[in-house]
Amino acid sequence: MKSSLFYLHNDAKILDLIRKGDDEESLATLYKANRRPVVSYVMKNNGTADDAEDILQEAVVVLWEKVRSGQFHYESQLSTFIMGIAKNIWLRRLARRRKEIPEGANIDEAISLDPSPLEELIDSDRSRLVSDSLNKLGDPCKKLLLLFYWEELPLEQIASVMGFANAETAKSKKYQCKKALERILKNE
Amino acid sequence: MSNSSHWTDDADVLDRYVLGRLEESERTLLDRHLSGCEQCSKQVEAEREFAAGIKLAGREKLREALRQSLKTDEANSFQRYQLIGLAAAVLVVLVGLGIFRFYSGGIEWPVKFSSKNYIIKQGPADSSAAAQGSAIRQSPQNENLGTESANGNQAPHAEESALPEGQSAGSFWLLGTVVMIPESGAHTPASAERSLPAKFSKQGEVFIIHQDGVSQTITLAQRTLHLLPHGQVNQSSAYKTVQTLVERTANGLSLTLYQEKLFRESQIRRATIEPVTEDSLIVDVEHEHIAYHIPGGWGAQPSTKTNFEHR
Repeated sequence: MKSSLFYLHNDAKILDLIRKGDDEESLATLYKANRRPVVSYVMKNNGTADDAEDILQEAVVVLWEKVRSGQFHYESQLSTFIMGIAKNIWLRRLARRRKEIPEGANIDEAISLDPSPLEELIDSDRSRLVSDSLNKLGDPCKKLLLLFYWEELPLEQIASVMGFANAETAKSKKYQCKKALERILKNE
Repeated sequence: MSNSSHWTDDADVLDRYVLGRLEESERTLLDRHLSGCEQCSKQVEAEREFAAGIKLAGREKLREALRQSLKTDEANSFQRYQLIGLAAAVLVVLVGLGIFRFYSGGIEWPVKFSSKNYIIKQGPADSSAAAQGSAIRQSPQNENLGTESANGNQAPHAEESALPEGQSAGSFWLLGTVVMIPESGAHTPASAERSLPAKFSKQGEVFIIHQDGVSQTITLAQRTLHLLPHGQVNQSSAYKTVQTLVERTANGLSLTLYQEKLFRESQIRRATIEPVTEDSLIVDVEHEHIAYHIPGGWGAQPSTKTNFEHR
């Protein structure tokens, strides 16, 4: 019982850090705590050390996104969650590479990644172009679009974070920023 | 949901659809519309790519933050290891130097007096001194390390040296050796571990010893080192030594210690002299123990039976 309290405390601390926006410490803690099992899993399943590092980073980022967007529900230890995500990402990547999927390696449905068409498009060329163009936007617009599309914060919260009068203002600003980004994309 | 003919014209609904924030029933309705509206499908696809691109930018930003954090951690950890390594290296060098100095004679282990047997070893020759002081060493196996031992062997007699003005002909120079003695246990003169019982009395700087009914006195005095006669230079030694002028008097001995830093008068008054054997003794002043081997013995007439009594 003592150890589970210990883990609960650690997980609670990490979740708190993520919610407070202390990204560096929370991410690094998650990364270091889960490095050994994830690297071990990926490398035992046709992956390289680089693959393993990449998968771990992605898994940590997915957890971070879920926590920030309020979609995370604490049902198991964070390490279990990370490991589940890492396995899913890796098995999907293996399937994409048409490599042999290890025997008995089933996608963990309990900790499934969002299989939405949006996720499927993340690695597309067009997405890459949008991502590059976003970096050419001014900071306020870039931040606003990231808060809305990436962190998926409600407009009320975005208004609070960005110092806008209300959600309507945030919505209007978001529209303007989106148009600005579309203009950059057209010129690319 | 929008009332327009194409729901994709409603930016808010489009956003919610793309980001998966709609109820299942709403989504099903919109999907049905999409299947019959190519323009709407294209709009949804464009919006998805837009959102996916921003998500990608966000993830890359976060991954970069993670990499930076790990790099900083690594650098800090490297610095920590560097510091530990440096400290270890310094320690190794110091230990190495210590070992080197020990084997090259620069350092000797402190002399201990916990054993029952004490052996007085003749010190190195001092060309300027008529006779030498002695080093005292512990010898658990009663090993004779020097030219004489505690069991009655006599030291070679001191040669006469050129004495400074005012010194009597019966005087000679000795190098007293500062030795370490454990605080507990056998350092009292009366200790059974010493080869002689140690009972003596004291009047100021004069120590009185009764030996076979004859009174012997040892007088302790001190002078500053710069008054040391020319030529009587302290020898370099692993031990700290005290150049001492020993004078035989009608009643016994007089010891004059030449030191850079003199003891206080009160310290001299509190000093004790501990006979170890018939020809060796230790002068205890404060926490310093200065050992002497007196050629010919500290008594006027050395005897195998020595008794110390209070006067």
